[in-house]
Amino acid sequence: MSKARVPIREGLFTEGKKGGLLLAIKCKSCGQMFFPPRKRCLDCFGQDMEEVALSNTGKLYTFTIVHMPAHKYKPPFALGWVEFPEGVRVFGQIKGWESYPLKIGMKMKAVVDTLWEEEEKEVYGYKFEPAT
Amino acid sequence: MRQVAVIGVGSTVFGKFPEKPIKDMGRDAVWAAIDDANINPKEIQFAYASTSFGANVVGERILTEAGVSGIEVFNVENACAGGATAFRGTWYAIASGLYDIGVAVGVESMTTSPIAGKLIPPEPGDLSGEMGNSAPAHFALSMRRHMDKYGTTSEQFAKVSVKNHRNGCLNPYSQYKKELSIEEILNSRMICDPITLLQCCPNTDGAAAAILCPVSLARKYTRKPIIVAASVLNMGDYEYRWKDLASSDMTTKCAKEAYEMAGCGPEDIGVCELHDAFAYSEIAHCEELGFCPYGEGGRLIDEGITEIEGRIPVNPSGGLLSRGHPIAATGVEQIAEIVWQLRWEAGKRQVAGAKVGLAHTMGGEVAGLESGAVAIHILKR
Repeated sequence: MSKARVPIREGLFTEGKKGGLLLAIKCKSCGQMFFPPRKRCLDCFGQDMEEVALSNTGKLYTFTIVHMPAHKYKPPFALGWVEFPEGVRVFGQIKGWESYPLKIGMKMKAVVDTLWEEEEKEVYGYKFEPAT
Repeated sequence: MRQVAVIGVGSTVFGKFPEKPIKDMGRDAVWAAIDDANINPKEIQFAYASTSFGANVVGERILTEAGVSGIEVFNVENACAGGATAFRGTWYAIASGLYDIGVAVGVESMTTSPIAGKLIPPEPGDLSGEMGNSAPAHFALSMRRHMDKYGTTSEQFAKVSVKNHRNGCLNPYSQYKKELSIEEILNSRMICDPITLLQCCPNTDGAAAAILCPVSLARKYTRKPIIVAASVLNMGDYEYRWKDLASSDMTTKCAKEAYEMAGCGPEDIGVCELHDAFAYSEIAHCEELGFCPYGEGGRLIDEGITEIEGRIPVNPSGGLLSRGHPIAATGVEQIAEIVWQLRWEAGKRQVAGAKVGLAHTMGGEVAGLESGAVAIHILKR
């Protein structure tokens, strides 16, 4: 029997034609964007929020290669922040860093991938990958 | 508000002491502060105590050992800023006129904590923690940004660790008394690239305490009261408002408020103990505290400006890197160090002629915030 695939969070990402799309939330009153999504605007406290899919690609803002175990992950693995054209900075894991040396400013795309596996389930989420 | 003075401070030697219960370490620090203030324990009217991983009612457990009972005790937890929060609480209760004499104590036994030798695990529901974030990763991401934006080099960060370990050799309370070279630091095990092991603060056990009273009563106990000129404690702001990960916005804002309260500026600070959880942190915090323009923290360490003999000595105690970091004890220990420095009683690590000192501490990973809490205290002789 195959393991159940469970997203790390509902409503955080979706799979588009070109890969992963992150789902941000935009305040209809003041325009502020949030990722991960918030139920109320933290700037103007408006409650009328709409979902906005971010562009598939953004720029690498900063990164680190982690050489110690953390949460469910064995080292080494990479973490970073990616800036999307919509003005949202998103934190997440980076895949493909072994093949393409990471550099601040490089083009990154969002992808959907397995984060970790447990006995009965596989947890998946978004990651970033060099868009070379 | 009344002016408040520190009349006594005390500390245990920091290190790895898994056999020492927190109540005993706390008691030893409180007794040392009581002896330093030359005060009868019965005169203490209230206490603030802080621990992150110790038992509940930690203040009561400590004071029982020190012969104090029946008083009001506040137990506070605020991660790495816990000790500073306890000190601020004590200051506030006296400044407001509620009490006259109180003790602040911070204590931690990291070697017997559930996270001994491990990372602090993410809180359930903490998305960035579940993605693999941790304190070293958080600061490595900022450090990389600092290097990219300002051209700060690995060697400059390593020099902070060299300096603080050299200072630690001069401090009898320090966990480490060993000098390190730039090569040893850069060649130590990689933790979160570009942060290596010897650029990280260690796991530490220890306690520190401070006794405060109104300035009007201070001369009854000491010839050298040290005045609390500013006390500011803030939570961090949202990550989405964080201007650039290269610098701590919450430290910048806290420093501005502290200088305003103390009626002085960064140019008046003669000695500083700041939160060097990582070598990177010291370079960035020097900029945020206004000791140099943004991006010039590397130059400060190159030119020796933050050395004990320099213009603005930073972490003469050895800082978190060498003196050690028993989480909730650190904030009170920084106060003790500044008090010794301003009384000119700091022995081999004494900063010549120090008159104004600043203590800065921050921490607590909170998803969505730059960091949990930041505290700055400015003391004057």
